[in-house]
Amino acid sequence: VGALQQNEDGVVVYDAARCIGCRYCMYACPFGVPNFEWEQSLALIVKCDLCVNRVAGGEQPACAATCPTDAIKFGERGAMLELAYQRLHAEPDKYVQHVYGEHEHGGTSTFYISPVPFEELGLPAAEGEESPAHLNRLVTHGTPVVAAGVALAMAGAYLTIERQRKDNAAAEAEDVHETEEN
Amino acid sequence: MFIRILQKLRTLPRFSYLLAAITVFGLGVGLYRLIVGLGASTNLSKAFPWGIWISFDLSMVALSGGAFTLAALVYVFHMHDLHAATRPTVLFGLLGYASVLVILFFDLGRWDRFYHFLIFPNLNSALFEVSWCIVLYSIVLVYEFSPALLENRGRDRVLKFIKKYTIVAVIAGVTLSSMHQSSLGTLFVIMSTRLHPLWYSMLLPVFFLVSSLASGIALVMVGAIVSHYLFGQTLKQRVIEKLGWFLPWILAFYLALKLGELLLTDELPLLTTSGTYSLLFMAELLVGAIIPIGLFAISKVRWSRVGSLIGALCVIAGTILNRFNVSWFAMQVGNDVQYSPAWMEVAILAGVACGVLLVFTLLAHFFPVFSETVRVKARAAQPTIDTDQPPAHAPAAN
Repeated sequence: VGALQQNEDGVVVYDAARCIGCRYCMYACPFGVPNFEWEQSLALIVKCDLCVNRVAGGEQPACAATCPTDAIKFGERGAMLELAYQRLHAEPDKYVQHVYGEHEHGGTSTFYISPVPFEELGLPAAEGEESPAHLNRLVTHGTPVVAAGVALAMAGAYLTIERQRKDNAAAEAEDVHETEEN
Repeated sequence: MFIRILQKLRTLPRFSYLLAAITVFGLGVGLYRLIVGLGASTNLSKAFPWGIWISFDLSMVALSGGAFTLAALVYVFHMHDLHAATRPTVLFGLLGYASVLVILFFDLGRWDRFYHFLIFPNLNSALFEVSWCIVLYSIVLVYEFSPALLENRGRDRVLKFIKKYTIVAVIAGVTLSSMHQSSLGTLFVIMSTRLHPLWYSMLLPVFFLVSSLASGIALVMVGAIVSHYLFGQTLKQRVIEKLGWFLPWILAFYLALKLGELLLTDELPLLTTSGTYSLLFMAELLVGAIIPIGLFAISKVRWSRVGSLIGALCVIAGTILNRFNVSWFAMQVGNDVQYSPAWMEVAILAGVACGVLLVFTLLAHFFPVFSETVRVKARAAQPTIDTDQPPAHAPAAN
């Protein structure tokens, strides 16, 4: 229903007023980001939107603003990537030398650096750099074309067979006519 | 009036009451689920947001594919001797889709907003396409079935109008069906990271479409043979034989596609190395394709009622296993999380399924659903009931 949209800043924002709680997004996201209000009778999806309202007002997201050890930082993607590498290089023995999210599934808007393997954090090892959403779009956008093709083919088949039948019927009628005359 | 309806109801077959009881219980549990939410009533979780309901929906839609397959064969390709099967099949399709819509309603977190997919389009979403197609196609099915409700009720002009444009509805229906049958496969194209590679493929939409053709035809056959035993009414074996003839071709094509895809993506070794997954995949193809291809290739089997029944049931079982595999058994989640349905999920499902069967029985009881089929028991006395001729409301072409 288009409850999830990517805004100009690259943040995937959630419109709770549209959502019907179908949970397809939970399957679509390879990182398992969207969650669901399992205990509500009228349940919605829950997802971090990087505090878009605070950011729009020039503030930091709440988590980054309150983090006492600067483990969470917020900023432009390029600057954050630079910071991530800075920290990796500053303590090469401590960190796994990889910025998770730089290339995973086409690159994400959130990066992780970690002293333990990313799988242990529940982050899936992403093999391809391609986003599954991209493959999906290839198929869904091809659909109207295929639909038109099917409709045309069916109508064509019907009309062709119909004409043949009429011709045959006419020919048969003539045959009958001739035999009667003889 | 009321008493007359009651009297008529008393003539219903016994099992209708059992169906009614299960339906009422299931819908009661459904009401409870709507109030307490999905967490308290189901075993669905963050790792498994979709469960047995979605697997049921996929299977049911595939089986209801009989309606569009048959409509195409009869109306577009003029195979009129299959016409006797259209009414029961279209009704099954209609009720199949109705059950899917009801189950989807119970599946939604915000069930009160079920209509949102109609007013907030997202053209990138396969689910948007599926839901639109299913709703539109249900309307087409109502249209295709309406003559059975209107016949002999003094609505001849409406009836004539409806029959005149049947072919338009049929072509629209075939288009919508092939679209959403395939789009149900498209749903899983985005799940490349979750679905086991034996099943995951960009060709999923094609797999789904082709297998729905086969299982749709198989369902028509099973329906005809079962109604032979239940209602004493059935299609002639000659018609069933004709339907059976199609199956090896479709299934062989399906098998070639499935194995060809694995070959091209170098995933063929997974057939033996993936443990349970390999077994499930092999079972699906063996039961759903290889065995029925062998059976229906034999003319003797096609002409035998029991043989056709077994073969057709194999196709259906294979397709259902495929849909359950894709949406449930072959879904990979980390940390060995497993899902098995809660009793309430099963109860709601059973309730809806029995409700649908009940409606089918009622309609078949009160309306001319099986009017063109052969009455087996009366056959000896009245051989004239045989409907070899193209029926009256085939498109008036002659």
